[in-house]
Amino acid sequence: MKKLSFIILLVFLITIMIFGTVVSAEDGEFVISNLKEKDITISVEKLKELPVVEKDVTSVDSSGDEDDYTVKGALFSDLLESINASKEDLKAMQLIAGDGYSIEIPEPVLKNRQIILAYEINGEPLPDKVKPVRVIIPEERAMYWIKNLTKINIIEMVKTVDIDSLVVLETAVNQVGKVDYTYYESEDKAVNVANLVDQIGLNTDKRTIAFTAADGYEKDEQVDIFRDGYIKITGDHAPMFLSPDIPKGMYVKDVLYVGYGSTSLASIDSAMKAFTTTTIDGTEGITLAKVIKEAGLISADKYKLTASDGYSVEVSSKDMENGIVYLENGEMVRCAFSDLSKKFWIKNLYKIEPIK
Amino acid sequence: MRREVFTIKRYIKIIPFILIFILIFTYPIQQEEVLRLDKYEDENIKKVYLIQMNNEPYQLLQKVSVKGYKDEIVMFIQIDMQKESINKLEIIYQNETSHYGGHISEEWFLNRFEGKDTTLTLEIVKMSAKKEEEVVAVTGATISSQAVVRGVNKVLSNYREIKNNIK
Repeated sequence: MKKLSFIILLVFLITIMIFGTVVSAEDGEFVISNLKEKDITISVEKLKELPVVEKDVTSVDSSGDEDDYTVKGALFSDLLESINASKEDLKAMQLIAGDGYSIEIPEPVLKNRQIILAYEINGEPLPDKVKPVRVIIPEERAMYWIKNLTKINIIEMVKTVDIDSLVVLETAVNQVGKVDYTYYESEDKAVNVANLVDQIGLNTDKRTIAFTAADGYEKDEQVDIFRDGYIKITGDHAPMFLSPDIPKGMYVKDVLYVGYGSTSLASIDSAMKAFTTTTIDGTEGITLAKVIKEAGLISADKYKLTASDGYSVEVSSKDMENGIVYLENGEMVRCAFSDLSKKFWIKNLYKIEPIK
Repeated sequence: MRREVFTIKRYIKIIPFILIFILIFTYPIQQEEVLRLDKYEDENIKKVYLIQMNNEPYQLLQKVSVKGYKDEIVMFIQIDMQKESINKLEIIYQNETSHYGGHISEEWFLNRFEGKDTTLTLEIVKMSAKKEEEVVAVTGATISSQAVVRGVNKVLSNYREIKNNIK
């Protein structure tokens, strides 16, 4: 019995030694990795030498619980400056806590938000479980407000991928099964993202996809989270990315584009909200040139427009300037051209590709 | 002859008044009685009232309190004992976060409980309700929604016990 207890204790100690030292920072310190050739250890004392920031903040967690704090600390941007780096050079970073919890701070948050490395909350030093610092990102959800920060892992710049095809979301969703999705009081319809991207045949070797919403909001999301989610295609704020398994703060309303590898999924409904409309033959729509330009589609002299039934036409870049895409009766995506015959006026527009 | 016709017409005019008079005085008098059933109250079920109509159980009204995400959620639940279903659910106190759990007081959420059979044990689901016992949570507020369901289930269970005992 004693021998068994000893073996269990030994296994436990070995496990602690192997897994309990994932992060090598000492107490009162954290590490920044992949910023310079070697890891940089930052102590709380070092942070206290930087300009002090004191701010009243409200944290909102995934269940909507709100807490008000007065935090004191240093700005991440000031810390970077002190080690001859800049926030502008970073694409994304991962915050890792002592218990292994980690979260990625996407580029829009990194670039646009103030990031405070707090060493005091409500006038008190941090409790042991929260030391050495707590990350505070005002106006962002508490999921980013990581406690017991032990490592900041700078994620390598991701090369911009050329967009070589644009798939129209409203047409694509008609090719997959829909599920009921109750959103507040509304009984809406949604499609499972994995089903949708597999049906379209999309692939990516990137870790993230890029959302752009009709109001200009931009956000990167992990591919796995995106694939596990849904796109609500009816009701308020459709198309909307959401999932019963993620906090509401991660939903994206009025999705305009989703950059998935080299393909951009585009919502014409959202484009009608986001861009100035043009009228051709009494019909209001968005110029095709605008839709492909904002999606980042590769420039070409000619583009191939394909309908959901496989019918396709080739249209010059000049005619793309004089053509519109619109949603008929809120369902069918059509296009019209001021200088082209009706055989070019495709119904159920599915895909636009540059002809190289 | 002319005089007789005139007399009938006059009676025709007062017939509706006579009918209303008969209806009022022959309509059975409903006797409503409210009884407090305090032996069925506990730390969650704060008050239980049995409403009887002419000595027949008619409605059961229960005040229940459950722990929500931030604070207590206090509800009144009215059960129609004739239809054996929830007649009305009203939240009389809650302090959940306004843009999240605060929506549990909205009529569209409370309506999801009305008409639910008293034999059911309700369950929270997140996307859509496929079964009678399923109730869709408020979007992004599963914990608060779950608390309401927990309260309703306590009330339904208490109702079933009361029903058995007053048979």
